[in-house]
Amino acid sequence: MAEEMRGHLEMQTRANLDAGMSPDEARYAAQRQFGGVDQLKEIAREQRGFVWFDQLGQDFRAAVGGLAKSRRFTVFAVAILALGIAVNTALFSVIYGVLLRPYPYARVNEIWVPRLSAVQAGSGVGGLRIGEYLAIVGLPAVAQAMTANPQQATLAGGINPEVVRSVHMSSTAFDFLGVAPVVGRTITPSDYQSNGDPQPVAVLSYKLWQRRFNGDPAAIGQSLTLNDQPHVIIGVMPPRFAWHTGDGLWVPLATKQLQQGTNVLVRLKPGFTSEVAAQQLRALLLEEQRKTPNRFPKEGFRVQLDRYPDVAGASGQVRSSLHLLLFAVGFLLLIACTNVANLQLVRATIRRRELAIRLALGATRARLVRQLLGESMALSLLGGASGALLAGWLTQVIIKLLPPAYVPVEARVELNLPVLAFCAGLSWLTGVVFGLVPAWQSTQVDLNEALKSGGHGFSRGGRTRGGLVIAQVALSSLLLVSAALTIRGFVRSSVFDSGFQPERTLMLRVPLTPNRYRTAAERNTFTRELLERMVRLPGVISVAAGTLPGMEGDVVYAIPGMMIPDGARVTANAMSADYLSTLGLPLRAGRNLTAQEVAFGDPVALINESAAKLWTDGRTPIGRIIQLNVPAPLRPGPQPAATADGKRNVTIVGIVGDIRENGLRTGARPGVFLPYTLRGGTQRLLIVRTEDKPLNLLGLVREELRALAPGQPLDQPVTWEELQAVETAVPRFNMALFTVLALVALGLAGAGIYAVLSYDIAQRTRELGVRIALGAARTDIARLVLVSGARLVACGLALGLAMCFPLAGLARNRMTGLGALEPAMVIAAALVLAATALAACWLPARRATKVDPMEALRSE
Amino acid sequence: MAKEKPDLLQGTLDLLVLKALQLEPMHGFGISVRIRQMSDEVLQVEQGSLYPALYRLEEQGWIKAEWGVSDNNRKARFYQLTAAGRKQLNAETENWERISAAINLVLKGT
Repeated sequence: MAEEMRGHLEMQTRANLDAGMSPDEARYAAQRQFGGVDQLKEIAREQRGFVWFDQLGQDFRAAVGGLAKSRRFTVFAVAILALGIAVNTALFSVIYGVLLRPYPYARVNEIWVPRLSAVQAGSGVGGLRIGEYLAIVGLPAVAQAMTANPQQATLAGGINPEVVRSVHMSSTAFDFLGVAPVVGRTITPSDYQSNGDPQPVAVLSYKLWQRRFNGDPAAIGQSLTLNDQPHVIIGVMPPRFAWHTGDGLWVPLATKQLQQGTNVLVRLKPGFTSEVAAQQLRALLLEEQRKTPNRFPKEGFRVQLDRYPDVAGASGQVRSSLHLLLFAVGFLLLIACTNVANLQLVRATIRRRELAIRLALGATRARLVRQLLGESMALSLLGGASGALLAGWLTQVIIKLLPPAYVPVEARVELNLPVLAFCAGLSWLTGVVFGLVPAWQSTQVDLNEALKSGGHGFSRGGRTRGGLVIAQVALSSLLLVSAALTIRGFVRSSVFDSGFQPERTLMLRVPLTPNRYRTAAERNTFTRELLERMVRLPGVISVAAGTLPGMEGDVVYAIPGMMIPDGARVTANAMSADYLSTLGLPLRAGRNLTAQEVAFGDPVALINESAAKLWTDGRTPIGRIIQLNVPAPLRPGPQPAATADGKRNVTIVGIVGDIRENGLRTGARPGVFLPYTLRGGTQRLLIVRTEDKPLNLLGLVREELRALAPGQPLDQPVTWEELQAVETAVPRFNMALFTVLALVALGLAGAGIYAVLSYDIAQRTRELGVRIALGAARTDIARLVLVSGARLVACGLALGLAMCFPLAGLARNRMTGLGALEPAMVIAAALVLAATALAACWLPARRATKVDPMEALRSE
Repeated sequence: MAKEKPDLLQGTLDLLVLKALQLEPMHGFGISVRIRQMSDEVLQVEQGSLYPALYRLEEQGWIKAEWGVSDNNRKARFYQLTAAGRKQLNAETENWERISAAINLVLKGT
């Protein structure tokens, strides 16, 4: 178009020249005739259809320009939006990675886990066995099945033999799970000989591969010695593949031992529901029951299929607290959005005059709305972009802080595309929604009124702004209270009395594998020798061997003359003679076991306080009998009678304090402490009470063990303090997250109050100037401002605190470890909020007192 | 120049432009010269009015434009009537004659 015009101009000039004018005249005349080119362009453009597009570009440029002018506002608003969006997105990333897609296995929702339960609650049912697995493969409803049996194996070679998790996988297991190896291949049916025996091959986990082979692909084909048997390495799995182990290895399962217990998973054929499959499985098991009735409870059993993610995924407690966190973060986002909305309103009110003038000059209302909307969209785009960057960083921080209990081993939390889309969508939405209201409001301007100078007091929209501030304060107070709750929960969990004195104890698991110690007698001999050697080491106060509650399973028991509820169990722990003193476990009544009773495995035992409560007739349980499944004692002499189902009488000789092994969440379970010679079992915990730091002795202990039994592996040692840290990890994480949220919310609320008050003071400059001129003291002015701010805060606090009681009740049901809402917490939260609000009001108040009356009266 | 012209004049200018293009395609400058010639130097169309009219007519589909080379070897946009444009020319001419006759009647009366 410009070219066309220029061409025309030239032709006109030439014509003028021909008509006899001088060159300058000709050009001048031509240009005069032409008129303003730009105006022409404008008109011409408007005739065209591309008008709206051009105008949009103009509006955007104007929007950006407008934002750039009021830089403080822009930075403020963008920061607020970015913060809200970042926190929300980061948390959403975590939830996505932990709850929604933690597993790399193929089609995880289609994997089913059979579950057997007894009709009578409490009585147990054994798990499935290999023989049954083989039959399950042939069920009509089953498309694919796999089984895996996690065990320990001793990995030889290197300086220290170590114990690794070796998971025995069925021949089609890797195909079932559908994850490709990074190097080499996985176990297939070809790894079985024709007689059904598996070849000695192994597939390594990524971590193990890195650790022992430094990630060298030449590891394939090399050999590892497991349980004294060489295995050929055939492949390595990717880091996210962690079936039953994250740093162990997988070997083929031998299916010869049909009676061995194992875990089974199935995939169903299309068209078969889980109920149909469960029925078929039940029919199969009823067959089994006829052959071996002892395995199954007499009253009958149920078979049910659960989806794998429900069974293995983040536990209920973790799920619910993540949901709760999402709520809290939603609050934060709301606060951020209301802040931005407030700022928009404030700004729109400031610009009323400008808008009114533009309206008067002929701009259409639609055009103005478009521009204001454009501004808020530009704002939200900026906020969204910086929020995305911040979210990336924040996600990394959260990942580092996540307690391991929260997260399945296979989960990987990262800022991924759906999350980014969520972030972008959120930022756009907040821009539109919170820009629309002020935009619409601002164009409803009464021209006359706006053109008149200055507003007074809380001008139009003041109530909305005030309402928004109240909402912010209320939400912040809620977050503060919840933070207080989590802090309390953490503090409580970290100082809980575990029941014994765990300082300066070193605990090592010494697994006594069946390979080396086939009989109980061998195990007992080894344990005795171990204890004798260890106690002689320098720096050792006392040594004990045994188990802690929870290490081995619960057992059924019977008490003569008492009705025991079905399925009631006690923990059965092993102990050596010095167990009590090494652990620092207090003896409440009766006496300890003697060394001889331990040596011979006499049927005597100690019980803990919780177990003592089982005898409800008021008399002491000391000297009375409890019946447990234990082997016959070693001391020669008359054997005590056994009951029909193999339980023997065990005499109680003492009562010890409870060991609270699960933190404060559960009380202690009733437990019995038997001589280790009686209890049996392959697990031993070596407990060493040291004078100095426990870990200093680790080297000595290892050496001693190696001298006694070369090749005997030791598990990783752990001090009780470390165990405790694991216990408190979940409450600590909750506390950290909620505190951060509350602090951020506090900051935002404070910023909101500050913004609103500053604006109002700016509006009331004239009024304040008049007041001062009429003799009001500076403190009166300050008080005026503070009171107006305090009124808002008080309303918000009242609202928030009123809401927090019912909400806290709701939260407590879903998140354990929170405890009751105490008045002290509420008061503390209120005080913190009030203090922040006061600080936020202070600056505007100070500014108000500095108003120069002459300036105020002169200005608009 | 005002954005809004009285409707009558705008319609009239459209008519003149269409008429000027009746015989052959022309560029903007040529159209203004043509109108001046045909009206015996009475009607001098300003470029400010001409080009908006041209774009408007193009929008409505009565003329179409092509880039071409003018006599002095300059690139220029040449406009020509479309079929619809020819029909519109006839219609508007009729309209104009009817209206102007009516106005003359009114003016002649007492």
